[in-house]
Amino acid sequence: MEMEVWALIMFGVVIAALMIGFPVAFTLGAVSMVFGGIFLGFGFFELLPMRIWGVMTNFTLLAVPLFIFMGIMLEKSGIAEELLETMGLLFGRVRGGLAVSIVIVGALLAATTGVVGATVVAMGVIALPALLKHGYRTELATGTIAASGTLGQIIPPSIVLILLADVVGVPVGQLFAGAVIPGFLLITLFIVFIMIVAWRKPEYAPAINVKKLQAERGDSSLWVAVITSLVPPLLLVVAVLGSIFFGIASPTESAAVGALGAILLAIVRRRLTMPNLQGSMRQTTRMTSMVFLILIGATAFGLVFRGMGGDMLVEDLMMELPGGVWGFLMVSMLVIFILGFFLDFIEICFVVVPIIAPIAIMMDIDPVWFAILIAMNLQTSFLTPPFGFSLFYLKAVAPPSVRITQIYRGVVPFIIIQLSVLGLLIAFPDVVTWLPQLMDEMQGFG
Amino acid sequence: MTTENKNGLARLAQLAKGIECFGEWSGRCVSWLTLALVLLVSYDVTMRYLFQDGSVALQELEWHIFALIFLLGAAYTLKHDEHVRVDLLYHARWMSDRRRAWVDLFGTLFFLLPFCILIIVSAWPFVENSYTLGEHSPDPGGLPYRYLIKMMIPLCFVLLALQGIAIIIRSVQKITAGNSTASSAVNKVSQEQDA
Repeated sequence: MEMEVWALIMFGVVIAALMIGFPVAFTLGAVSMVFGGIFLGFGFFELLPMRIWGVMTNFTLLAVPLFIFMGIMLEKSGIAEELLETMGLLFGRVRGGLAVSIVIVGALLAATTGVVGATVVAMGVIALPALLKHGYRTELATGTIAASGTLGQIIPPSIVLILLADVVGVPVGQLFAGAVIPGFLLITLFIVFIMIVAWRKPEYAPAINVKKLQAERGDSSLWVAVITSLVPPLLLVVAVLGSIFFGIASPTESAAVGALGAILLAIVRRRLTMPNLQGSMRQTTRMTSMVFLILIGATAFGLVFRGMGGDMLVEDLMMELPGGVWGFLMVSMLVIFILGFFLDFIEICFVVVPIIAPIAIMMDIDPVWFAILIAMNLQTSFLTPPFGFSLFYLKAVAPPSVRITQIYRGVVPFIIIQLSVLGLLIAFPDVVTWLPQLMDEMQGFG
Repeated sequence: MTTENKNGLARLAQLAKGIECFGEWSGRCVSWLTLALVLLVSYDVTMRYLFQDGSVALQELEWHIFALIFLLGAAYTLKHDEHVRVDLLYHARWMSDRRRAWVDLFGTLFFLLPFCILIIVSAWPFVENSYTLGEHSPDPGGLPYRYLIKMMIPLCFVLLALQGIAIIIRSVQKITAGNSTASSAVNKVSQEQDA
């Protein structure tokens, strides 16, 4: 058998080995080591430290720990709880309003933290009991939370988009800009869906007695509460994204300023205690290390895969697909969707995307558009039963009375919405590319 | 079990505990670098935009710190079991603690340790070259002693391997103790204390 074919076999072996459940980073590295040692000789791995060095000196990737720090710090400042509470008060009096407020808070948290697991867990803990208590149908409540919590994939500034930008080879700012309109589209459609349900089936999404809630939390004015809880994080997100979009600061720089802003916010809210600070620092260290160790393992995999000619084989196969560009798009999206059941975003981003992105670029596919399609696709994949990550996260924190089948059923309409948007982006690439192009032009003038 | 064996096991448990303490301590030290990174980059941005005063050394220091965070934090992350797993099977309901210990034992012996050795061995010439050449930053005003930061690559994997040894000991403990409930309870208590 030829070596290229063995490269494909290695891909299969990696997926199988990952199923054992040992940490991804080392599984990737070890399998690559075996195949590389057999087919290319161990001397080949002299290239590996140089690639690791490339990661260490990459100034854009520096944005990752900074954004993680910003997200965790905001979480520790208790902003999520307060947002959920005040938004609930604001919208709760309307049928379906409580669920709508969860979509909005989810989007806002997504924009600040961008870590899917964290958002789903936070909202599952805080919002799910509230929704159920007020008589929301379990399916609608869990579906809303899972879908809104997963928005962190696509809504900038997301860690996912930073890593994708690095792998695909486009500026981070371009990807952030490209994700804005699709992200808003999703949020809008989620809200529209909830409103329709509340209108057709009032018993699924009842209005809540706001007066009673307000009495519970004392007499402070609702509008003051809304402003103090909504404005600071909103301001932070706008400042961070704005400075990137208008070319004032690099993503790394605005991430640092965002993190500093989060610290200041915590100080103002009297939440900057030593345990909170240490917790944020330690969690940031572990998440950063987790991400980049996978990158090291995936780098070993990529080196061996390419060294064995696997990339050429995949390229040849993709080129022979019927339908040319569309055939390639269909197949690559399907593969990513299915892998999204088993693998986390980081693994797909570092292992699979480097193989297919160069082919896309060779086929003259707009890399920004392609990257956004991948992000949107994965987001859907994470929501899809039976293996979607978000569903498991939610099940883990949901009250025991909530069955996984209810979560599965609840998320179906949201998956349909996501797939429709994905189809829309494929049919009309301008939805993605318009804003990045506009941004380019503006920066060109500035 | 003979007393000699028991003594040996106790000594190994002591070793695992020592490694874990060291891992925890080193990780906590490294974590301060995240705060340093936030402050440093913020300071850098402010100086550049308000006073048009950029510094090559400062920018290099920033990615040095970034590299230190994820390289030296890796073993600490392993100790906290936060390196992502594909947990479809690992966290399935029918997986007992003992079976998970088998996975960890197998994975550490055949995945983690060999990969650590591979990187330590292949990174060594990379570091040595830098040292013998007396490599500096190629940019004027950049940082000297580049071999020091390059040395963090093998160091990262030495620390990981060390933590791996602790995992092996813990896994064996769980596997052998799995039969007698009393000793597994003792194990649990000691783990809770560690956490």
